Amino acid sequence: MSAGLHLADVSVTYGGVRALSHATLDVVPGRVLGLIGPNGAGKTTLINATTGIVPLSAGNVRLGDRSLRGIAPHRIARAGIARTYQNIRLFGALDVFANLAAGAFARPGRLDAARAQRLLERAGIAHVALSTGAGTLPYGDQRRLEIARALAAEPAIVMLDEPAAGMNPTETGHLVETIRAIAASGIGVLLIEHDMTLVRAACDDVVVLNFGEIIARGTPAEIVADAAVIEAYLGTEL
Amino acid sequence: MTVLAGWYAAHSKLIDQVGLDALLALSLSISLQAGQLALAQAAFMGVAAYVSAILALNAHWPLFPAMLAAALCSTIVAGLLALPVRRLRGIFLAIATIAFGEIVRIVANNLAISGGAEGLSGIPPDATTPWIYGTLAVVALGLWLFSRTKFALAVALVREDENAARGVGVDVGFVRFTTLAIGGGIAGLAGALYAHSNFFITPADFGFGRMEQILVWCVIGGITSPLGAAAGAALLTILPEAIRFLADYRDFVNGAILLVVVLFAPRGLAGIRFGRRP
Repeated sequence: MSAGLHLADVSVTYGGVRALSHATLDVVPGRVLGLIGPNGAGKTTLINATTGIVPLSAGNVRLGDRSLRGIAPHRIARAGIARTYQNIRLFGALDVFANLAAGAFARPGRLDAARAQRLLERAGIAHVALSTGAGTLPYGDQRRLEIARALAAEPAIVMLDEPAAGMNPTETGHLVETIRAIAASGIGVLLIEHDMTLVRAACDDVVVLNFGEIIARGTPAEIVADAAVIEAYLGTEL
Repeated sequence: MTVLAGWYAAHSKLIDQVGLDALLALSLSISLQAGQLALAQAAFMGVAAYVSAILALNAHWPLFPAMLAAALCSTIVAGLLALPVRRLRGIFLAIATIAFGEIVRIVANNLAISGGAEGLSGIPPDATTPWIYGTLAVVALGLWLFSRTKFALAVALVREDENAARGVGVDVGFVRFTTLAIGGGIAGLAGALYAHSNFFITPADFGFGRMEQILVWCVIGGITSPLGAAAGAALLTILPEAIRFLADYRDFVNGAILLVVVLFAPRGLAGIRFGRRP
C-alpha cells in the first residue's frame, strides 16, 4: 500500500491575503477525498501548496514519513504526487504518446506503446490514437488525457482539479467510474469539483473550504445536510 | 577528378563557411529547443576563438587540443552565464544575453592579450575542410544520440510548458542550464575552427550582427529542429553567393526570399518537409 498525504495546519498567504488558513486533511490510499467550496475558497491554492508551486507560510505537508515543505515542485512530483489542472495544461504541440511519456518521466525506464494504451484505457479514452496531436483532441478527451498522464507517473496520490469541467452528464458518469477505479488500484485521490452529483458518486469523504478555512468535513451525505455548507456553498435548493 | 578539384578550389571558402555556420546554428538550436531565447552564441564563439588563437600563437598548441580547450572555456562561460539569467524568460533573457555578448566584445576590444580592436593575426590556418566537417559530423551524431534520450523529452516539455514540466518531475533549471552550456560548447568548437580557418580574428567578428545571423538561420530552418537549423544556415550562407549574378539586386532578392519563407513556412524549412500543420 502506498503512502498517504497529510496536510497539517497548512496556511498560504499571498501578500497580505491569507488564501488558505490552518488546513488539515488526509488523502488516504485507496480512497477519494472531495474538496469543494465556492470560487476563491482556496481549493486550487491547496493543491498548489501541496505540489510546491506556492510556498507554505505555515504548517507542513507530508507524504508518508517524508516532509514536502520547501521541496522543489519537480521533486514533489518524483516523490509520487501527480496532478491535473483546472485549466488544461497538456503539452499541446506534442502527440498523445509524448504526453504520456512526459507523465512517466520520473519513472525508471521508458514508456512503451502497450503501457501507453493501457493508460488510455484506464482514463476512458482507449479510442484515442497515440499519434494524435494532444492539442487537437476534443475538450473532454483532453481532460481525460491529463488524467492518463498523471497515472503514467504511477503516483501514490493524484490530485484532480475540476476534471468534469465542460463535460456533459454522460461523460461525467463515465468519469465517476474512472475515479473509483483509480482509487481501487490503491491510489489516494483528491478531487476538486463543483458538480455535486459527481462528488456524491465518486467521493468517500468530503472537505469543504470557504474563505481559505475548512468549515466542514464528513461523508458526502453528511456534507449535503450540513447547515454551514448549505449556507456558504450549496444553497437551499439542495 | 581534376574538375572536382578545381570546383573545390574555387568554392572551398564557401564550403568551409557552410560547415561553420551549420555548427553555430546547431549551437543555438539546442537553447531554442528548450524555449530559451538566449542570444549569446556569438559571444561563446568569440571566447573560444580567442582562447584557441592565443593558445596557438603564444603556446604553439596544435589545433585539436586548442579547440578542445577553447570549447571547454566557452562551455564554462555559458554555464556561468546560465546562473544569473536563470529566472529570465523571453525578451528579457534575449536582452540580457545580447548585453553579455556586447560585454565580451568590448572586453576583447580593450585587452592587450586579445589584440584590442585590431584583433589577432597569424593564426595557423589548419582548420581545413575535413576538420570542419569532421567536427560537424561528431556534433550531429552527438545531437542525434541526445535526441533519443529522456533528457531530450525534458527539453521539449520545458519548451512547451515549464510549470507542467515541473509537475511531471522535470528539473527545469537543470534543463535550461545544461542546454545553454552545451550550446556554448558547440559554439566554442565553431569559434575555434573559425579562428583557425581565417588567419585573423577581430572583436567585430563576434558582435550582434553575427548573433542576428545565427538566429535567422534557426528561424528559417525551424527553431525546434536541429536538422532544419543546419539546413537554414547552409541555405542562407549559399544563397547570397548563388544569386551573385543579380548584382545590385542581390540583397533585395535575398531579403524577399527570407520574407517568403517566414510568411509561408512559419515553422521553417523543417516544417515544410517534416512538419504537421498546427
